[in-house]
Amino acid sequence: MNQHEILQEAKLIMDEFVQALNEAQLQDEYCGVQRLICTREPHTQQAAPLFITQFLKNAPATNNNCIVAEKKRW
Amino acid sequence: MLIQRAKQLQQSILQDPYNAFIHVCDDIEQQATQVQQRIDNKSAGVLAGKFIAIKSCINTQGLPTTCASQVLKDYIATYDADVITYIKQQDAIIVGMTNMDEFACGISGETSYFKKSINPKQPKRVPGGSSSGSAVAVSAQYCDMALATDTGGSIRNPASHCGIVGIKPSYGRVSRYGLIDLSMSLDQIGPMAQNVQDAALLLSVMSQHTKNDATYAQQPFNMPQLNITKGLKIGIIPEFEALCDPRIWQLLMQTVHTMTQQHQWQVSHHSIAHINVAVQAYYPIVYVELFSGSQKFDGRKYGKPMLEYCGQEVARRILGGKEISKAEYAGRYYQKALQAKEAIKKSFAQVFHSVDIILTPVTPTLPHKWDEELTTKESYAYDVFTTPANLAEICGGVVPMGSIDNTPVGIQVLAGNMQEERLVQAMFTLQETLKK
Repeated sequence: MNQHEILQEAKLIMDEFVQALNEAQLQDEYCGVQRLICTREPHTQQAAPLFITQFLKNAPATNNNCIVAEKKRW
Repeated sequence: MLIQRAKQLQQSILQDPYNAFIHVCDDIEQQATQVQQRIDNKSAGVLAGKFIAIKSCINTQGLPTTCASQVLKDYIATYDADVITYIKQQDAIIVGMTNMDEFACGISGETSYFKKSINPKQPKRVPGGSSSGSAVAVSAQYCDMALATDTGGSIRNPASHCGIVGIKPSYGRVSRYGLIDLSMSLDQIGPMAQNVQDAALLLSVMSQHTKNDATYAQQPFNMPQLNITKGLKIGIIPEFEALCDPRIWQLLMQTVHTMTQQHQWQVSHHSIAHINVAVQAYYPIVYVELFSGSQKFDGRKYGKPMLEYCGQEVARRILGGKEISKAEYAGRYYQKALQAKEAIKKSFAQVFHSVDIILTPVTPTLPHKWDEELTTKESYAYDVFTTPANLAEICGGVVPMGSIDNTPVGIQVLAGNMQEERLVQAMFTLQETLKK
């Protein structure tokens, strides 16, 4: 299957599922997640040993401790 | 003793015919030596002597955390997830990173990029997923425990099929920091083990306080003294019978009868509002949240661009999630699914006012055979008994209940949000009663 066919199949399934949800007579209420504390505390821990070394090893291309990310690929 | 066991385990894992692991640690014996020293010094943690396997979507520093995908095939984790930090602090010995469905998208273990895990208890049938390798590793006794994740049944389904114990904690019970998740509002990391005692012990270690995850509820689970519990009020969801293989339903009813006779458990029937659309609510949430969460896999800092290298099921969810989260569809898919989630959550909370636990089958059928191919919708429908717990943010566990056609079948125990103590007491009672 190519991406277009995969998308078509996914959309069909989602349409069928949402049809069932529409028939379920759900209450029309706001359903966001509300948290009183929603920010992380400042990170005071030091980076894991060898973090930078491994971080750079994972990158497809590096130059002088920087990751090379070509604009074309964005 | 510990070092000897480490040597034996390493040898058997390296000859593993079940494909439980994507990566096997080469320092198992070295870890065991260090833990043995701490045992000798009487300074060891509560997991000293326990060998633990890790699902490949939980960042474990220095080890391949691949999500069983070509996208992250060469990715080595740069830091430890909170749960890894906690188990290391308690002297667990990590044996390796387990196989799984790619990015946890699957119910059978078949979507792994690397290989398919084999069910040690019934090799003709799939082991279940997405935590296929973790369940297989425990079932084949390559480890005492495993870390796994559960978005819609990914711990409970393979635990049932492989004849082991698994727990999906309540949402917010365990830090998700360092987890490469499938769905941010549904995923939880949980334990798999040979028995309820080990699963509960591991959960107590995993659920420690963290400041790294805003979804963590700051409620650690403390390991209780496990006892046989008499007189529990149990709920049955009668709507599930029509969806279930009659042999599995009959086994469930036999188990319920045994518990009422031996431990005076009291049975009542309860309907959960909108549970008939749980699967239909679950998948739009997963599609949209996987699409959102997967945008970081662009191949610039690590890995490869997601859509160019992922498998078909992952692509289906990402492309579908991208489509239905477009502004033009605002309120029609994701918001509608969240409304169903909220309704199911409220209905469960209502039922848990009158029962202690709910007992259900884990899956509607036996795991399929290797030569049987499910359609996408058939595989989604397989989650029908497990997704409600994730939508309701409650805890659930699986204990082996018996076997049908030489295939293990588990029983699902559900308890309310943050009611893990009640859950493990009920699971322990079932385990001790059913193994006789």
